[in-house]
Amino acid sequence: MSMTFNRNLFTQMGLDSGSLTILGAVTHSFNEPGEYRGTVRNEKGESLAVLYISVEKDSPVAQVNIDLALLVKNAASKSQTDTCAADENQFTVNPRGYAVFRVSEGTGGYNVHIRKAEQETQQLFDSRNLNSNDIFSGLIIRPGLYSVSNNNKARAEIDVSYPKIEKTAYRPPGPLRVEVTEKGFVPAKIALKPGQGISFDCRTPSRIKIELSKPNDGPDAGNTHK
Amino acid sequence: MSHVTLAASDKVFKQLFKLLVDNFTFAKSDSGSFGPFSASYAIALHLQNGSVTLNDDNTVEVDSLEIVFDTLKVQVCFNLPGIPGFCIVPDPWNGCLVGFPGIDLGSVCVPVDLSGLVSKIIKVKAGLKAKYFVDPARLPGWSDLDAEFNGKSNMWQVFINPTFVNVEPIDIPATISNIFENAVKNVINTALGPLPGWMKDAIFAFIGPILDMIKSALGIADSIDEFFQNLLSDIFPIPALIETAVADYFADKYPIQSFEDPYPLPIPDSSGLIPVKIPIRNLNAQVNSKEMILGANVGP
Repeated sequence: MSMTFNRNLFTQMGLDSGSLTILGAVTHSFNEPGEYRGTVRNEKGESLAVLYISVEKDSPVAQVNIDLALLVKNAASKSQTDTCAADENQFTVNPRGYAVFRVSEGTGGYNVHIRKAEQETQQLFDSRNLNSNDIFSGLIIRPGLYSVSNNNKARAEIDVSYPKIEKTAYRPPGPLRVEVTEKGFVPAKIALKPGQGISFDCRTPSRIKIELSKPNDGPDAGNTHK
Repeated sequence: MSHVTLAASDKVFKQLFKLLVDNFTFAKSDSGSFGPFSASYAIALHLQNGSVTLNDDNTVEVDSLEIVFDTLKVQVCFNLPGIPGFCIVPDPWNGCLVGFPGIDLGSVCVPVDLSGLVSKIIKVKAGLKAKYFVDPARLPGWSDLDAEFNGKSNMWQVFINPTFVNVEPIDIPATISNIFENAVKNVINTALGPLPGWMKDAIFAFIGPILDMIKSALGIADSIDEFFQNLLSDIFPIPALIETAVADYFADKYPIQSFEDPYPLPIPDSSGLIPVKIPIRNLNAQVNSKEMILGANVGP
């Protein structure tokens, strides 16, 4: 008799576009064909895994999911010269398609750095500093009031309502979109249901942090299921 | 060549058959993944009762032989409903171009103990089969006498040789639905017990009503008892395994009658000389409605 549940879904209260967890993802479009090389790093800046992205005009791939947790796990368990490991960290996408950097398991806390493969220094993408047209998406389960900031400046507020146990299984409504501009967030006051998706469309350099400011523990929390 | 004929009455045959049934046990366990769920089982069983009939067409029929599951334990594991993904970049032509993947909530493994359940072998139809057995532990240089002194004599064995064994599907009690639903609730409540209230409420909201969640997770279109019926009769073909085990046991493992070859003549003797033994050849076993008859040639 046992139950395992994804604790990381419930123990991670906030979101940070520069420190991805299971609850968040960054979407980036490369636009220009070519070979790209990236690294996955932790919050201390230590490189944990390497990835390669071929952006090809002829590729039919519109979305490539890049699981940072899996890359880190593979890098830790296998040599990068290993044939299998090499296959697992190579991705292909169309220039008009999108790479979605996400974390499938574990505590996360990763950021991604991408440059052209042939250029040693010039960095094209850093998930800690999103460019215009990048998208930061996530979902929040813990009910409460959250403060949202962009590079510690522009502010917004998210109110995540308390879940209701209904006669049918709860399914969150469709995602909300927020535009991030130089002037701030539009809208700046956001009401979310638990687990409802939210996407921030970046129109300015961004690092979006969402932090719990006032938890909502509900009117009668803690009942067991009858 | 001389002949010898032995007979056992219908009553004696039934007593021999009872010994055969009383000595049968079978145990097995297995596990597997079946799409939306995985499951495992462990069984241990014995046979009891049953009626045996000898027929004039040289067949033996066994009816209503009960299968008692001393152990019948099942465990079913399945995923809890996840948090659905959502669209990040809508497709201008409809649909979704880029999506945020759904997230798994977790999984549960729920044991169900059906030990004590009684099922039935509806019918066994069989003939008799005589088989010659050479003990593999008998050394090549031994004479028949050496073998007898060492308890490794060659044997003639008579087996009930089934042509047909029919085990009925395991009859799952209708209460299994409540038992399983409550077991799932207990597993979840126990696991979530120490968690903060908001977390439990969020998980319960996503899970929804337990019965609906079970049916959805296991892909059950009908009732939970039918799911278990199918699991224990078709997915894990337990009745078929029992049919094979019973057929093997009757036909090869446990003879209804056996005697050594050469056969020691039952002559009272206090001289201390070696026993007089006669070789038995071409043993033939038959039945009619009154008795079992064993016929053989005597001689080298």
